[in-house]
Amino acid sequence: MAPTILPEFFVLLGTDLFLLLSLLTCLLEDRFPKALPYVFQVAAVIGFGHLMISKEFLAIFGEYMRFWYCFFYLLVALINIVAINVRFATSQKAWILAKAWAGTVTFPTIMISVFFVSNYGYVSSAEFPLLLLQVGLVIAAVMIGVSAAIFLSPDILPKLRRGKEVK
Amino acid sequence: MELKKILSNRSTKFLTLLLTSMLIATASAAMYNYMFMNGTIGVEGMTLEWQLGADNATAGTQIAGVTASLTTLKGPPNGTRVYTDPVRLKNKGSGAVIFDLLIDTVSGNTVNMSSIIVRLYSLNTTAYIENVTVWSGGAKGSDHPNLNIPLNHIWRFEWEIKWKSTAVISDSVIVNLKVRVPA
Repeated sequence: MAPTILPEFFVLLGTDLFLLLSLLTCLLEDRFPKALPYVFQVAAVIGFGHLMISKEFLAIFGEYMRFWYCFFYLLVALINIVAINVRFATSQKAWILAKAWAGTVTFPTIMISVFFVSNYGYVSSAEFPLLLLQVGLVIAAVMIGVSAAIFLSPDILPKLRRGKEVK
Repeated sequence: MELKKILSNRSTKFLTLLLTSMLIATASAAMYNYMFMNGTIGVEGMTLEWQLGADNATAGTQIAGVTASLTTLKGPPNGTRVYTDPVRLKNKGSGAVIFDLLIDTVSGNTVNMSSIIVRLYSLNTTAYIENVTVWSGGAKGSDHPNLNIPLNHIWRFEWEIKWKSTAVISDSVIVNLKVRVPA
């Protein structure tokens, strides 16, 4: 029988993403508050605590419950990645950095997460894979579309912003 | 003051964070690995799930983990009673499962019991699977090893109970069936 991944895999993935964020925000420390890398480290330690609690209550918590609270943690990590991307693009107006971050961090982490979650849903015969696949595909399509638009005409965002200011 | 200066140094800060990151990542991975081994054992045991059938109320079906108990298997004296669908078994794992069907206990008014035969049918294909003798000739039947249930298939357990002429209307037996997935 092929081994399946446990729901706690998403906590492990989320923990690693928080650690990645911690190191990257440390490298870009002049663009972020000084304490931010440590905040991400604390978030990663919380993930470790999450795993410990899951281990102790493995027999009590159902797989459905375990999946959702583990998935929620991963979602928080992904939201942080996207939030940093948005911060680069909007408040700091660092377009090159925002594009680089989207291409090397945001997009790959979201795709990896969608892959593992849909794989978990398929292997566990869960009832959500179809919906998840559709949502994942929509997110991927929107991201690719926006990225392609910005890549082909880099001045599209400043133009849009200027248009809003005129109004 | 000195500590602040050290921490403000970017490379020292990065190195510190890198070391703590490696520590947290290693500890988390070790914890997951430990859980994976524990969890796999638990999950394998529960890939087969007993489910209540359409006749669960009349047969008094009770499910507790790997054991399904049929607590009110009644029948007329010198007659046969068939429970078409008191309990089902579902494979909710990730592939076909080979399991052993164990006749755990047969208790109650077994003195007046002639025989208990269980016939297994697939609800997915309606095919007949196996004949299991639970009770015959005053003795418990033998276990049935190596039954192969495909992924997501549900098997219906049909019970045929024959009572002796000495049986009275209040007679009943309790049968416990267990499933065991070999390691």
